[in-house]
Amino acid sequence: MRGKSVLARRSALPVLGLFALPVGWAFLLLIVPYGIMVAISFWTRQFPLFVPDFQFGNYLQLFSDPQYYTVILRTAKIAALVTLAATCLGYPLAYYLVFVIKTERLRALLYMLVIVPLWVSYLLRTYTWKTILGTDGALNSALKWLGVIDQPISLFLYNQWSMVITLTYIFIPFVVMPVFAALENIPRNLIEASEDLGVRPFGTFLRVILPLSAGGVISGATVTFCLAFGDFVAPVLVGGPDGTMVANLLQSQFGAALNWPLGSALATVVLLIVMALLWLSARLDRAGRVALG
Amino acid sequence: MALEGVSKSYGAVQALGQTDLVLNEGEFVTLLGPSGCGKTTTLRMVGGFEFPSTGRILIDGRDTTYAAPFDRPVNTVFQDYALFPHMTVAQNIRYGLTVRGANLSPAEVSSRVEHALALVGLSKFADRRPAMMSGGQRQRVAMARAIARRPRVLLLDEPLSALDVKLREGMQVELKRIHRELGITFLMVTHDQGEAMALSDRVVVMQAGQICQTGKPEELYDSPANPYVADFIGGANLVKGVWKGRDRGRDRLALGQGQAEVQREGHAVAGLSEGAAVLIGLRPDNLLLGDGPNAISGRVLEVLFRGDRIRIEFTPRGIAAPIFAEVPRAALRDLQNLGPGSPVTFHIDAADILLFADEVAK
Ligand SMILES: Nc1ncnc2c1ncn2[C@@H]1O[C@H](COP(=O)(O)OP(=O)(O)O)[C@@H](O)[C@H]1O
Ligand SMILES: [Mg+2]
Repeated sequence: MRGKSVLARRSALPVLGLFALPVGWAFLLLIVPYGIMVAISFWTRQFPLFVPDFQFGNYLQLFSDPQYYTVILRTAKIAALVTLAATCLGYPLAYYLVFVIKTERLRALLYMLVIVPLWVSYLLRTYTWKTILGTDGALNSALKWLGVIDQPISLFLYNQWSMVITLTYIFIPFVVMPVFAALENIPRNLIEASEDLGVRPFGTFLRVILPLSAGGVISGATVTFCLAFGDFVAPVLVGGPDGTMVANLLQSQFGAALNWPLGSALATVVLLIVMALLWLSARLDRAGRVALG
Repeated sequence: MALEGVSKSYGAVQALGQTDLVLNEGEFVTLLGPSGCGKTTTLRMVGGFEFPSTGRILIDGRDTTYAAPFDRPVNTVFQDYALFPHMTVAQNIRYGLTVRGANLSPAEVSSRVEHALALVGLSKFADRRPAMMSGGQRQRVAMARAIARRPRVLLLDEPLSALDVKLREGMQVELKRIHRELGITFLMVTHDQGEAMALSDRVVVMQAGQICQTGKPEELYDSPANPYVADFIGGANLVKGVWKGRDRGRDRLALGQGQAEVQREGHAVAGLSEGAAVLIGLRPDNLLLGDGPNAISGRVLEVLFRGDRIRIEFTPRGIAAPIFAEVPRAALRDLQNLGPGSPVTFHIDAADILLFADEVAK
């Protein structure tokens, strides 16, 4: 009560200032760079220079030249596979932590173990998979020791599957965290009520637990897809020749290829895809929330 | 339904001691006791959410001690309703009717949903979400959902405790009506003695995981088995006294500085020797203003206005603890200036005094 009256007595000026600062930062760090990026995407390249212009040639090139659109499609495919795999693995893990582990302490410990890798360098974790999947990596050694194979197989590394595996491993915590929170928020007596009404555990899972944790799945899947879509490390370390993803393409446009306008157009397309996805996710989440009241 | 020697321990904590209880067909039985006395534990074992440490639970003669909740012909009205938030009211009720075991045709399911909604007066709210409803309405949905399955026993855990006082009284009437219309056996849990007395055919008074007494509400009120039940049901002033003997069907007592005579049947004071310590229970309602038999006088401590009744707290001469009396307002008309410090005398009918052996003194 007192705080409110004190606030009310103050003049509006400092309050405005309080808001001006973050708005200013957002403008400077978000709007301006994106504005510049979008602007450059309409420019023309006249090697080695870029000329201000307003034409859609760059966008046209992206969607007509297979060199570009196949990369976009591949990236979407890999991101979708990673999202699917991370969700399919992360959900049961979160479910296990919330519903199967009985003691609070063990649950907290295992949850930490899921989260801890996020504190280890992302590069290092990607590199780990190189040493696991490589020709003289852990997997090949193990298979050789077991006698399943007698020559190391190079099949495991430098392809799209190795990228999916690596990215899935890296992004699983991003699924586990929101799903864990969603599952923990389901009142236990709803599950008891379901069984009380004659529904068996699996039916209870399908009709109560899954719908009530859908919000967590949506946010986890969205984050995973966006992060996987923009990844540029895994393609370099474990992706191999046909593993190039959008982010690598972008990198080269601004680097070696020295085509900023095309790079900007590509970046704008990526931005639009991600934004569309976030919008869709927010819509789904809101629909779910409305359904929950 | 019957509990046979059922007990439950959580590690070292004994939530429920050896308990036997039989519910008759169509009976409304209430477990009554203070918080933590094991009521919910008992109900959860009947519902199948906990398994007893010892004993058996029989429903319709079938041993269901370790049956899963979805395998028992009982349904629960949960304390905080436990309605599915992602379903409408009608979907909540339908939920338990479309399961494999129910074997209901779609037409039967619909008619059951409608019937359940009508029974609780919510036919207009079929398509609402629980979040858009008031506490009292949710309570009714929870009830409709449970009874739509036509359970053999309906379990209700503090069904009215989350409602405000006004609503609670209305729902008590509803609950009683629903019970009468359905003829299902009800097993309710509450800590509210008024609610238990008003609704139940039989009340089971519990204390610290034990059943103290089981009986019709009037039986518990008129002949409580021990001082605890006397105080919990209807309230009672418990005063220490000395048993002086018995003649012509009356127990003579020394009470404070005075005497009292008790004339009641079925007291558990047989075998007392002269001079034995006893506990005397005086219900506030039974204390009458003015001189008479079994008079107690003292000085007023406090006068509390209770609407149609006035509560008077007074310190009787020769008795350590203060005593509460509740008198109709009309009785005070001649004593307008009764206030703290005024001398006051009450008396009580010999048939209204409750007499118990003093377990602690023994
Ligand atoms: N899951 C549990 N674990 C350990 N102790 C419990 C558990 N449930 C209940 N208890 C204990 O059992 C006793 C009875 O609890 P409960 O049946 O809930 O009482 P009531 O419903 O009468 O308030 C309490 O002392 C409580 O602490
Ligand atoms: Mg309880």
